[in-house]
Amino acid sequence: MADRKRVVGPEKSVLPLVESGPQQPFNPDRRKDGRSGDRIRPLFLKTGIIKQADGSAYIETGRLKVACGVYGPRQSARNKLPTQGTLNCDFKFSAFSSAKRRAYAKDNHERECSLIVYQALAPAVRLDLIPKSTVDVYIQILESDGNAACLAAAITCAAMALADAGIEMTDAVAASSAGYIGGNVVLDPDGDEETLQNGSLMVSYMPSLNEVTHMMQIGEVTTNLTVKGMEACVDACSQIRTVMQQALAASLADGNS
Amino acid sequence: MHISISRPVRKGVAASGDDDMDVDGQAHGAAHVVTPGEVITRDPAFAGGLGTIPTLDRSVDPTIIASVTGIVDRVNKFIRVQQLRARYHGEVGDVIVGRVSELGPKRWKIDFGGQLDGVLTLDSISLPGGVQRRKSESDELHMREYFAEGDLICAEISSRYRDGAAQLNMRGKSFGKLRNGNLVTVPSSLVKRSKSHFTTLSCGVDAVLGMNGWIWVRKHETMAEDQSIQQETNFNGQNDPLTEREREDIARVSNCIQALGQANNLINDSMISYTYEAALEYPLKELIRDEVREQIVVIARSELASAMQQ
Repeated sequence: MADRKRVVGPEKSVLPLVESGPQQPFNPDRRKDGRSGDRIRPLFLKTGIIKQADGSAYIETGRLKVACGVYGPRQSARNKLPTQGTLNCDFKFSAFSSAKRRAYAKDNHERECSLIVYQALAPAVRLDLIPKSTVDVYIQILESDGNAACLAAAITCAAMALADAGIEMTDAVAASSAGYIGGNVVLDPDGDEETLQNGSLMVSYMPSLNEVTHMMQIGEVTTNLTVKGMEACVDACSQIRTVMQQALAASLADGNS
Repeated sequence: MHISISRPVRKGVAASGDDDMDVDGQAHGAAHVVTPGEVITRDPAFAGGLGTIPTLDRSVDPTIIASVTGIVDRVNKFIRVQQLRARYHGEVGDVIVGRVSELGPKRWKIDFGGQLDGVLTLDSISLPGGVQRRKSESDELHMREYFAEGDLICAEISSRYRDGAAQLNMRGKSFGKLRNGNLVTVPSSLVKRSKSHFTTLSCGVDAVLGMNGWIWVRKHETMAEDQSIQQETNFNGQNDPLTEREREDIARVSNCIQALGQANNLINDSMISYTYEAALEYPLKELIRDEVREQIVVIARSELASAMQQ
C-alpha cells in the first residue's frame, strides 16, 4: 500500500536514544517548565495568516503549533439540508509534526479528531442563517505536543478562524485540556506529562454563554476529580477567550490601517 | 402649527457627548470593537440588527450579544455590528462580475464570491436578434452556446430568492460576456457604489467595477448604436487582437487596482485614474513591488485630496 506518487520517509522510524538523568518525581506545583498545575502555557494567537482563505488563524503554545483556514460560506455542491448550512471540519497532522513521522493519507485518529472539532464548533456556528451553503474548516497541525492539548488548540484556532471569516456565531468557542496525574488535576499537559497521566479531560466551552459544547474524558477517575478538572478547564477557557478577543480586535485594527 | 419631525440620526462610531448607551463601561470616542459572544448592551431600550443575536424573550433578558467581529454601529436605539471584511452580500441593483459555474434547467448558476451562487434564468437575458422574445425550447438547447461553464460575465442583481440567493439579469446594452481584458479581485467592501459601474478611464481603458470586488479591466469598447448589434457582440467571447500599448495599459490599470486593494483604499473610477497617473512614473514591471504600490497610492491620495479642495 505504498504511496508511489510521493517520496515517503523510511518505513520504520525510531526515536534517538537519549540518555536521561535520574528521574525527578512529578510535582504538580512545580512542573518541568516552572508553572504550577493550574496554569496553562503562554499562548500566541494571530488571524489572517492565509491570504487566499476567507478566514484563518494561527496558535502557538509551548511547542504546539496549529494553523487553520476557513473557506466559505459558499454554495454547497449537493444540498443535504435545504434549511441549514453545513460545516465541514478537516483535521490533519503534518508529516513532520510528531516525534514519529505521520502518513500523508488521513488515518483513523485524524478522522476522529475532525469529528470532535465538528462537535465542539457546530453548536456555536449559526448554520440556520446560511442555508444551502458550506463552511469548510481546514486544520493543520504543524507541531504536536500532547494529544488533548493539541485537540484543544485546534478547536480554539478553528473558532478564531471562523470569527475572522465573519461567520455568525453565538459565541467564540475556547477549548482547554487537563490531565489527571496521581490524584491531581494538571492543566494543559504537554507530551511528556501525558505519559505520566492516568486520564485526561478536554473541554470546549462558550465563555459568555457559560455553556459547554463538548467534553471528552479518557481514563479512570473519581467523580470529585472530574468536577475539579471541569472547573479548572472552564477557568482556563475563560483565560484563553481573553487572548482570543485581543487577537481579533488587533486584526481589525490591522485591516483598518 | 409647529410640527417637528424626528428622523434617524446616525451616531458615528467616533461620536461623543450625549451618548447614553451603556456599552459595558467602554470609553466613548474610540471605535467600539466587539467579538462574537461579547455583550454589547444590557439596556432594554435598544434593538439589535445585523451581526447581533436576539435573545428568545427580550422582556426577561434584554441582553444584545454580538455574533461577528466588527465595529458597533448604532442609529438612535438600533444597534448593529458592522464587519470590515465579510463575504460579499449582494444588494438589489448591484452590478456584479461573475463566473458561470453550472448550467441548469433554463438557468445558469453564477459564482460571484457570495454566499450562494447567483441564478441567471434564460428569461432574464435578451437574446441576440429579438429584443424581447419568448424563449423557446430550442433556446434552452442552445444555452451553452451563449454562456458555458467558466465564462466570465457581468450582470445585475434584480432580486433575491427566499434562501438569500441572488437573481440576476442581463437586460441592457452593457451586460454580457466579458472579453479583451483581465480580472482583478479586491475586497468587496472597497468598491464604491456609484452611478455607473462601467467606466472608461482617462487612459483609454474600460473597467467594469463589480460590487462583489471582481473588477474586469479591458480594452476600450465603443458601444454600437444599434442595440441588436451590440447584443450580438455581448454574446461573443472572442478576443480582438490587442496592440502592445493596449496590453500595457490594461496591465498597468490592473496593477493600480491591486495596489489600491492592498492599501485598503476605496476604489472608484477617479481613484483608479489618479493611481494610474502616479504609476506612469514607474516602468510597468516595477508595479508588482509592494513599496512601489504603496508609493503610488500615497501620491494618488494626495492628488485626490487636492482635487477635492479646489
